Amino acid sequence: MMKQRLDEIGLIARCMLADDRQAFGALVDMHTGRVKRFLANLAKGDAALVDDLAQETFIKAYMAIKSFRGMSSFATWLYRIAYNEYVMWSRRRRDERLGEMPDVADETEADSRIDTLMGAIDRLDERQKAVIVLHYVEDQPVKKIARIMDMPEGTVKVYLMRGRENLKKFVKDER
Amino acid sequence: MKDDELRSKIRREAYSAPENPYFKRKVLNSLPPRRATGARWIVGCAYAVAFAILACYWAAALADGDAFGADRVRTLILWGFTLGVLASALYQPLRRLLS
Repeated sequence: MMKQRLDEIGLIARCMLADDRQAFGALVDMHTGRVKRFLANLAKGDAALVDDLAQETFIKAYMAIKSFRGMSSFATWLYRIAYNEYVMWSRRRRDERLGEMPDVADETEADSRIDTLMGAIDRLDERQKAVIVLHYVEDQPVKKIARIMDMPEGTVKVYLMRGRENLKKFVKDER
Repeated sequence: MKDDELRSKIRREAYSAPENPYFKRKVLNSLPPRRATGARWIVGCAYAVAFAILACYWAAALADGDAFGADRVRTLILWGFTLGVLASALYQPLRRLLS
């Protein structure tokens, strides 16, 4: 664990000082899994969308790597960029849909999705969904979630509690 | 329902990261062009100095009419240094071009 952390610091230093792309490739290898899993659970497993958002996340991380101060772990920093990418994509999609007529197929799909727990998570408010995914799937503590989502720890706890209540309600109804 | 129970239920249903063997290559190919770093600036200066020395040496050798062999040691140094500097200057751009 310690060795992995030291290796990671070495790779980040190589990217910062010498623009070393091989080192950045190694960082991509180290973190692709978690970034993609996080995005997949926000984007309902849409593989093409997850690939695009993860790619944007790593490109932005590369361009901003000199601003990484090591106050949080590199993974937390990447989660934060990935979350922001997802929020921006979500806003763009909402804006695009504002002018469109509601699609009957979409509504049917929305009704059927609620049959699964992931479907129930998908029906949560965007922030509640992100908090639930970070906490239960990515195993992140409240403190780190607060950094990733740039909000106070108390707010994270409230979102977590509300999301949990909604999901428990769903599980109870399902039974 | 306990929190651990909810966690394991969510994890069972959670999506896994989609596999794409070309993902890393796609990311690396999309990165912006390299920035000029301090190290590159130093390398550039070293080449400038090397080319300046070469130019002076060639000018002196040609002025003496001695660029092609009268003084063997001097000729060897002149050609060796010239070929060495040219080869190291062309190696990286050629490698990038061929890859």
